[in-house]
Amino acid sequence: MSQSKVISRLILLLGLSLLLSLVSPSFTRFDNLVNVVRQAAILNILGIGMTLVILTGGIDLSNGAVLALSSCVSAIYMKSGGSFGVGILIALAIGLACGLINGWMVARIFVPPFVITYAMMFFARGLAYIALKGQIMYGFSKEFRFLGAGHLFGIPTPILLSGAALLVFYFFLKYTPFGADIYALGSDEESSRLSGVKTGRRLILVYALSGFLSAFAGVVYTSRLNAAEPVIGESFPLDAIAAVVIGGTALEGGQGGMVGTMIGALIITVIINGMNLLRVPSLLQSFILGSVILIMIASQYFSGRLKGLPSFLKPLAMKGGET
Amino acid sequence: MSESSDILRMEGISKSFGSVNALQNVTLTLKHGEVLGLVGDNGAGKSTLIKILSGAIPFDEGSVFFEGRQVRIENPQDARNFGIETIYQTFALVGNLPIYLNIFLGRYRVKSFLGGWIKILDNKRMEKESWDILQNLEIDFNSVRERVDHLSGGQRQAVAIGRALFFNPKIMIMDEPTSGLAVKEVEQIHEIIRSFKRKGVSIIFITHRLQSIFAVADRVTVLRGGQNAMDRLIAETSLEEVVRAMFGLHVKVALDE
Amino acid sequence: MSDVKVLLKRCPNVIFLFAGLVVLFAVICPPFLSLGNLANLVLQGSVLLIVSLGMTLIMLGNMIDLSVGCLMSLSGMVAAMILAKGGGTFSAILFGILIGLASGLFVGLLVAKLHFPSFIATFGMMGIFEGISLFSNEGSSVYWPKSAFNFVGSGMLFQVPFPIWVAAALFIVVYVLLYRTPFGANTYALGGHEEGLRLAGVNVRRQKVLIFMTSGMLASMAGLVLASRIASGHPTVGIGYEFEAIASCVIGGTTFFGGRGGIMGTLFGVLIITLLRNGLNLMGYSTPYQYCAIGIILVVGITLNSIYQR
Repeated sequence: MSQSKVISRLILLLGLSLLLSLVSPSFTRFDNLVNVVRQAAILNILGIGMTLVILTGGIDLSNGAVLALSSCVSAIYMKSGGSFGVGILIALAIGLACGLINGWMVARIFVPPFVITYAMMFFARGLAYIALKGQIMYGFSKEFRFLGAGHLFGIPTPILLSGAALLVFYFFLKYTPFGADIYALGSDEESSRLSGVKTGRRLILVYALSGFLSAFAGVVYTSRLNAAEPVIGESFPLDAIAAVVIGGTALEGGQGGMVGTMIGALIITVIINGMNLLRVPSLLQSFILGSVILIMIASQYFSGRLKGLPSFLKPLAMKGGET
Repeated sequence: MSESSDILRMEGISKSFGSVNALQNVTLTLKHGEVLGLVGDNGAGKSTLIKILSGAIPFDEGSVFFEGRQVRIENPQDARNFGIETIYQTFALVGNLPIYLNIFLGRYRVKSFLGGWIKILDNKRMEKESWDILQNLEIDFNSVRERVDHLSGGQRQAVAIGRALFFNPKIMIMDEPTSGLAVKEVEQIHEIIRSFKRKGVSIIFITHRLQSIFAVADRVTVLRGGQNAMDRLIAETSLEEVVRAMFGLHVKVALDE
Repeated sequence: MSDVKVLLKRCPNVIFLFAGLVVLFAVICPPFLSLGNLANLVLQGSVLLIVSLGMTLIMLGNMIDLSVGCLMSLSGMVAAMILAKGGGTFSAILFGILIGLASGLFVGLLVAKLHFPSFIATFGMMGIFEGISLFSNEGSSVYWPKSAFNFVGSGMLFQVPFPIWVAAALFIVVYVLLYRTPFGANTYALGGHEEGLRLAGVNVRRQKVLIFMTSGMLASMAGLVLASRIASGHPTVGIGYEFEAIASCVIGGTTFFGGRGGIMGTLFGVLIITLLRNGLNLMGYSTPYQYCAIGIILVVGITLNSIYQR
């Protein structure tokens, strides 16, 4: 991502923070700021997955539901005496599986990404309800709780985990063939395919990663809340998309990056935190968030970057439909 | 005309799109070092046939023989692995990526670490090699880091050609290489085709410009309505005959040059 | 070409799927086939059908509208509040429909003129409508004194519930609109080859706006019928309808592959979804199970359609 874009967003972040600190003195309290960064960390993990998916010109609406499903199932396992290690693995496996299904449907059956991830959203959320039968699971082991509520060298673990994920995926996106393929695929899927990029495999991988990261975020989130229930994460798809869009990744795919998303996640979290501190009713909060996204997209359009329908809305051409 | 001099044989190729029969039992052969012109009216199936060969689309029936052995080409990478490079009419370049990445799209130069587990893009090497290829094509470029969508049509074609040439293909497929070009540029393309031939590359090119076929090709295959209509050495046929095979009519051709 | 023939050619699997599910539920759960239940089923499907008609138009034009569910709730709330404040049935219906038209106009302009991706624009509107609906009465339902409006949802005409009449009438209207008018032809063309349509001189922007306005109007009508049926304006009653409408269209063969499909398919899609929910309900499976099942059927339907269309 270009320097100027990153810098402009950093300025936006700092500006917002400054504004908030003036309007609400409790914003700058140390424990509030730590809280903000910790919340942003979880959003950032989701944002990494969403960035990957949006870079390919797709979308993942199921991340919240997959998060809920994976954490509910692993919660059941852990509460019935299972070890936290296996519990985490179960969560990650479920996330991966859901992501693989999404990816396979997009890449091989050519289902538009938002149709399948929308269906997966309902499906996974339904399964989560069925699994927990309306209960809430709470009170997990100390070891498990460490992931979301613990500290390492004075830094909350979510921040460390999120930072590690960011570094790993930033590296892969920028320096490896995987990253080059993703950008190519997102810019021009057909040209990439004709040129030998294994577009099908990359798409499946990207959605699988998004599902995996959703589950990973779920582990941290559940650990932090010390509770798991089917309703969690309903706003996460929107939050993650907001973080990605505000961070500068274009919805049509092929442009953008992880750093922007991280800043976007911080911006979103600061906005939400600010709204909470100012006691904005939650009904209004989604309204405001939605408006912010719309404004950001409008500005993307007016700055000439969003030229048409994002790829995930274009009709996916049947293979070789012309003679 | 023994079969052992065939570098490529496509036999009995059939392909349908839903209820549309694009190709029916089509055969195409290409000899070592030969330049083959593939012609036909719109909708005759030429694009479909070469897309099958380049791995872009699968076929329903038939077989493909490369250097005498039957092969399966299931995706563009397979075709490349056999040494079949394709230059599409639209060039299949990715606009907002730089030239050097486009040249190495899908087969980047990498540096491996940890026993092959981690592969890192070797941008320096790709940039240098791209620069070298393009220099040989004698087209002006400022930098291989330039985005492809900032280039002119001629420069883009050079990138597409350079890409195909770089990987030392045995077979080069060119889909409408002269479309939209002025007369002088058309002659440049003819020269490029001849130079490929001198390098020992076997070439199939699709065109509507029949004069090009007669200028550079050794043989011509005509498709009509998804089926074979003619297959003749250039020396043994005429423009009129080719046109008649394309349209299946008795036509008198008025040559307006 | 007669639409039924097109349907049979394009997606016989919809009819088979429907028939198969009917047989399945008849076997697993005999009360399903009772006349009373079947009548109930058609009644339940009528609201979904109305909103799905609009969704079909949108999807044929290669777009999506995620806001219809919340628009339904909003229209219901608007009508309810008018009735509660003493307004007449006519004005309640009028304003309810106006909301739909206005929303369609707004979203249509966002998509057509500002080139917002329809997915994002309607996703945002969904949140906005939900917010407004919840905000307007602090999250609670709005009731009204007995009114002629109640007839819309609970009344009967010649022994047939009124909602079914509304749905049938709108089906015919949309049928004519889609298959006998330039607007309809342009809608199909928009989905198939937008650029070609533009080059042919058609005002593509206006077409998109009109499509959204029509869909918005249909959604608000569905919302009014629904509000009348539950005799209240409920702020979140419509949530989930957008998913079911999309599912109905997709199962019915209207996807994004170049303006294919049609409302006959959607009709069967609606029937399938409704019977799925009805059947599972009878068997004692609550909403989460039903949504899971819809998700699965959706995926199955898409896969079948895409295999058949190749």
